[in-house]
Formats: sequence, structure tokens, C-alpha cells
Amino acid sequence: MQAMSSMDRGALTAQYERILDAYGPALTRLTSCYEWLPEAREDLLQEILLAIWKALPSFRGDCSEKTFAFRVAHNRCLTHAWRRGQSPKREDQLPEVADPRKSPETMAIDSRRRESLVAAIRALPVNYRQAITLALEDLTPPEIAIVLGVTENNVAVRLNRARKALRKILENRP
Amino acid sequence: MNMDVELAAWRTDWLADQPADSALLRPDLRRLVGRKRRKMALALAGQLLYGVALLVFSAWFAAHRPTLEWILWAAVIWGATFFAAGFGVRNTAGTWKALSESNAAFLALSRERCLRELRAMRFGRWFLAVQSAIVAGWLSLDYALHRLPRGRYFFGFAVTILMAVAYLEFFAYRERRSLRDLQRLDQFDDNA
Repeated sequence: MQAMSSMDRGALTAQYERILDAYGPALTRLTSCYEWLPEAREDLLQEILLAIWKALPSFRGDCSEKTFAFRVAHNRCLTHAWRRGQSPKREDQLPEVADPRKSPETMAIDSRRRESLVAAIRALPVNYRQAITLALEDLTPPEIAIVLGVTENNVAVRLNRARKALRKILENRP
Repeated sequence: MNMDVELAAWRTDWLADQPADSALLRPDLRRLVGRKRRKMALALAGQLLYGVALLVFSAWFAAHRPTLEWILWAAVIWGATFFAAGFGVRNTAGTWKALSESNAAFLALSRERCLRELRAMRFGRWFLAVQSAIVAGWLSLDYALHRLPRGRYFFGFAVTILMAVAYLEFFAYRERRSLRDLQRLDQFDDNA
């Protein structure tokens, strides 16, 4: 019985590590749409990873690991957003703290455009934010529908509106 | 702009930030560290209780039989208990909490705990040898002075040997577990 339990635990750990390897970076990107400060993003990421670890024993394979990971993450982010009050507070008074993991060269090359995009996504309502981030992570509309627990039609509507809103915000930015 | 081209352009910008995997804290590693801490606290509480019981019992026994032999016996028990407790406190010092909330710190702490446990097992074997020698000497002296009949002498020796074997087996088990944990931590290291 104990051997079985330890086997289960081993399998769960292996599965968790596989998910972490495959979707860890995507989950980290996801947190940037909910929190401005790197420290807060780290905290949110920890909450997500812990939620995935806790949810793994109940995962029966009725959807892909990708969908499972994003579903848990989005539920966690949704709770987080509601707890903080719909959209993330813009700490305009605080300077954006540079992420210590990136080299200055990399930041100089690509962070400006990305930051602009992420800032625009942050300004979207939560339901649009969820749809567009999943689309950017290359999830198909049926996968997004499973993650968000809505119909494919609803996904199409949300994506369409999210794109329009995002385009508008980006066009109005200097 | 074509919708798909627009989405593809956004996706390129979106994916530009690829965080290093090592930056992700591992909850399983954090759980491992937390679980071990709870086990350490439980073991410490058990040892404290055992130590206090030994001290109280030996003091009570010596007080009721105030001969030189039993006072010496109680003194040996007290000395050995304080010596073992001192080693225990020193051996676990600095292994209760990680220096920071990072995978590297958790790994370093877990590895240090395993090494300290191995050290404790070495100490335990040495301490057991000394205690067994004292008990054997005491029994033999009593037997030589005709204060102990042959049957009780051999019975006392048998109990001492059995307890020593049980403790050695326990030490071996803990040592195997610590070595296995060290191997597991090496795997964590590869994946972290």
C-alpha cells in the first residue's frame, strides 16, 4: 500500500515537473497581465504553481495537461484579480522594477514593445484579458473554451472584442 | 491589418520574454523542506521528553537509594543526557530555516540536513559503544563482587546486546534514508 502510494507520488511529481518544464514560462508571462511589480508577480506565480500541485491528484486526463495547467492558472488569476479589485492597480507612483532575470541587452532589444503590449493587456477587462492571453499562448478556441468554461462562440466574441480594445489602446499610446 | 498577422505580431512580442526555468520556485521542494522541518520539531520534542524522563527517573531513583553506586549511576545518566542533548542542539543549529526563498537555498538546506543526520548517526554509534561498555563493565563488576547472580548477569548482558543491535539497526535505517534523500536531492539539482 505504502509502495503504491510512493509510486503515485513519484508519478505525480514527474507529471508536475513535466508541466512546469512545458508551461512554466507561459504561466510566468500570464502573471505579468495581473501584477505590475516583479515581486507581486512572483507571489502570484507561486500561488498558481501551488494550485497546480494541489489539483494534480484530481486530474483524470479528461483534457490535455496544457488545458489543465492554464485552467488552474486562470482560475487562480481570476480569484487574485477579484481579491485585488478587477484590474491590477497601476503603481504609477512607483517605478517599474527591472526584472533581475533579464540581461540589460535583452531588455534594451525587446522589452519596450513587450511592456507596451502587456500594459495594454492589463488595461483590458479581466474576461478579455483571459481570452487574449490564451490566444497569444497559441491555444485554439476550443482549448480556450475549456480553460475558461465558456462556449466556443463566447470565446470568439471575447477574442474579437479583446482585439479591438487592444488595438485601440496600442494605437493611442505614444 | 489582417487579423491573423496582427495576432502573430502581438504573439512575437508576447513571447519575447522567456523567463529562465530556474527562476520558478518549486512547491514540491518547498513542501519537502517544510515536511522535514515538522519531522525535526517532532523528533526534538520526543528527545526532550525522553531526556527529561531519564533525568527525573534517575534523580528519583538515586534519592531513594542514596548509596555511592546509585548516585554515580545517576550522575552518569545526567552527564550522558546533557552531552547528547548538547550534540543534538549543535547538530541541528542553522538547519531549521532556509537562508532565502529560492530553489538553491531549499536544496542547500535539505542537503545540509541529510549531512547533519549522517553525522548524528556516526555520533550515535560512537555514543552507543561508550554506553554499552559502561553497562558491560558495571554488570561485570557486580558479578565479580558476587552482587549479581549468574542468571541475572547473563540476562543483563543479553538485554544490553539486544538493545545495541536494535539501535544499530535503527541507525543503519536512518543512514540509508539520508543517503537516499541525498540522491533524490541530486535529481532535484539536475532538474531545478
